Amino acid sequence: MVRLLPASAREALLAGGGRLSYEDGAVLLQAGSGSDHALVLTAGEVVVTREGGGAPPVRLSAPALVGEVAAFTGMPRTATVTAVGRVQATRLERTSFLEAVRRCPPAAQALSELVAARLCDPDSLRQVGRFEVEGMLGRGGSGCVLRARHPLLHIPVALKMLSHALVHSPGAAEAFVREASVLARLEHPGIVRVLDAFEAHDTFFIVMPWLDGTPLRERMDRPADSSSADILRVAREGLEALSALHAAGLVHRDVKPSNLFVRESGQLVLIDLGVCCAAGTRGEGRGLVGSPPYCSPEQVLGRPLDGRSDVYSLGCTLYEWVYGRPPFEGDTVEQVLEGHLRGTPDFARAVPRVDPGPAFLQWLRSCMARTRTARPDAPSALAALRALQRPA
Amino acid sequence: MDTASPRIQELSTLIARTQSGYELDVTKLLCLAHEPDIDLAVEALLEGLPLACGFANFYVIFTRADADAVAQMNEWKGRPRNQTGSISTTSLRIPTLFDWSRLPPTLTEKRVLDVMEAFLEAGPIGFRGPAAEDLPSHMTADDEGILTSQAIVPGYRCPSNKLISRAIEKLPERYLYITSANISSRKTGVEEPAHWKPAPLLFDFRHIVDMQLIRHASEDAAHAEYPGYGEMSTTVLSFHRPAMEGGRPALRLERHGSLHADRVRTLLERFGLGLEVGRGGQQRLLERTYAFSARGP
Repeated sequence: MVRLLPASAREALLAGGGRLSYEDGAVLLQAGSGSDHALVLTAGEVVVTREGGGAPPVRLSAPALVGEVAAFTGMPRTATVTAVGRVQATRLERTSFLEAVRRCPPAAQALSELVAARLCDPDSLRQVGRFEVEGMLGRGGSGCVLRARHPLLHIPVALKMLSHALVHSPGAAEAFVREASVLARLEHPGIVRVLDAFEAHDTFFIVMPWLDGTPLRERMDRPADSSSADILRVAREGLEALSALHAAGLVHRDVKPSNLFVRESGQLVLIDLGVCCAAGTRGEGRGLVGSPPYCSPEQVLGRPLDGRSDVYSLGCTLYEWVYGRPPFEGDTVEQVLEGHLRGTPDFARAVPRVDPGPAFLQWLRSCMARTRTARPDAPSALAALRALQRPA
Repeated sequence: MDTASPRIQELSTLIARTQSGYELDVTKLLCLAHEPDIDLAVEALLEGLPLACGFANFYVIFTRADADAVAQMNEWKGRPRNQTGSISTTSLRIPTLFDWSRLPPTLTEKRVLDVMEAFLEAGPIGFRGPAAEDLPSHMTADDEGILTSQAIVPGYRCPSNKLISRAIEKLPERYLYITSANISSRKTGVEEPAHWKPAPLLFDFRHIVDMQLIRHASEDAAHAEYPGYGEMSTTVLSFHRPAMEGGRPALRLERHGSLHADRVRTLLERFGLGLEVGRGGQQRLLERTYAFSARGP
């Protein structure tokens, strides 16, 4: 992770660290102790012994980094590091390190991976906040989702950890808290509920109820099991959920098959609200939040978004379900995004895997209009869809 | 201390990073060669976003022409908020920006329109004349008691005409606000020539996070299209006050920009007109030089 930092930041970090010397047998880092720093070994050898005795001791020679996981995640140390002969090291302070990481998105992303791996490690504490972590459910651009259990109620919950790369962008923390509080008040069967939110390990976690069912992605990958009625239901329930979200002044920004969850009852639920933002929000910097195959043109162009962006993304999702491939494909992200900006989704020659009928496809085309001026908002799209479904 | 080179700092403003860390060059997203890109750029303008746009052989910034948008852009550039704006519109609508009844007695409407036609055939140009009565105060300036408006247009061959035309079809005004793509010298303390490359332009305006940009299809082709024009803001000719040169009626050189005064004079001679050099036209504008490369994206 330190290697991901720009050379100038790395050198500044090391130059600012205190120089330390240890004699043979001295303990450099103690398991269970506080974790405000890591050590860069500059000369000599150490032995790393993990607590619990499960894993054999590991011998490390300079140059090496020790104690970094605990230091950078803020968790208690799980290993003791002892000098073998004379050892010299530079102390890397947690606060300086995190400051450098905040300015380097790839390093922030790596920090998220490290925290998640540590929380899921069977030899680690496996606890965050009051919750006991049971394993990893999935990873996305905005963070990862952990399966956890409430220690008193013994009910399963899903914990969404916001990526450090996102949480460190200016104003993001305030926006996250504001939006989490709006979501916590949103009660809609099609939107995953936010039960709680807390701060830990230099990022934010949101607590959501555990849902039984499958991501829409799994159903889309089994076209033989899909009917046009399934597609119409997902379209309708997706738009109902988006209408409620947009009415609360929020835009999801990452509507895609893996963020739509079909409960065992068949009810569609919009999940992963970690990157949703207030409608009309102007960015603090250039960045593309969302997933390239489903991004609206205005999202690609970094414009302030409104709910019509989510309608476009839902349209791309439905298109993929109908035709078996996203509307725009390419070997690179640029090619996919260019499709959203300049391409026209192929409705004429492509053969539907599941045929919801020409009227639905015409409606879908309108949801995928390139300019948002020509695209309906969620309530209008929903009204048009209901009109299609009404018996003549 | 950040020791990154200026080039790296510049590039960092042009990169949109996706959630997965993939980096996109935002200067390459929209291009004047593609119809759908023009539609998306027009939509941005209609929604009130500033748009940096390839314009003949250099770049300008367009916004809507309402008073708030003009004041905001002035502020972003480091100018006084109430500085008068220049106007861009379609070639057909240029005459509607001026009050032809207030021409000086030495000129006729037909003669000025013929001159305009000739300059528009050649390339980018600006005209300043008596302001049409319906123009708002933030788009007009007083010149010794005469209310004037200033049109900056790219000439017939520029693909940005299509963008301007589509935008004003949907706006209440028949024109856009146009300004050079440069930060005011009031802010930087030195003359700031207009940008003719998109990447350094976005770097200078990095404080406008959602500024949109639509680039030339090819910078080299855009420059080759206007031989003899400097890569800088347009030359501006005025016709609101009487001007004479060598005993014959003349237009006045208000700003000596991309079209050299000698070529202006040659063109005007075709119409029996001279060129009087005004105070603002005595020194030619500077062309921006870039440290990193002379051409290319």
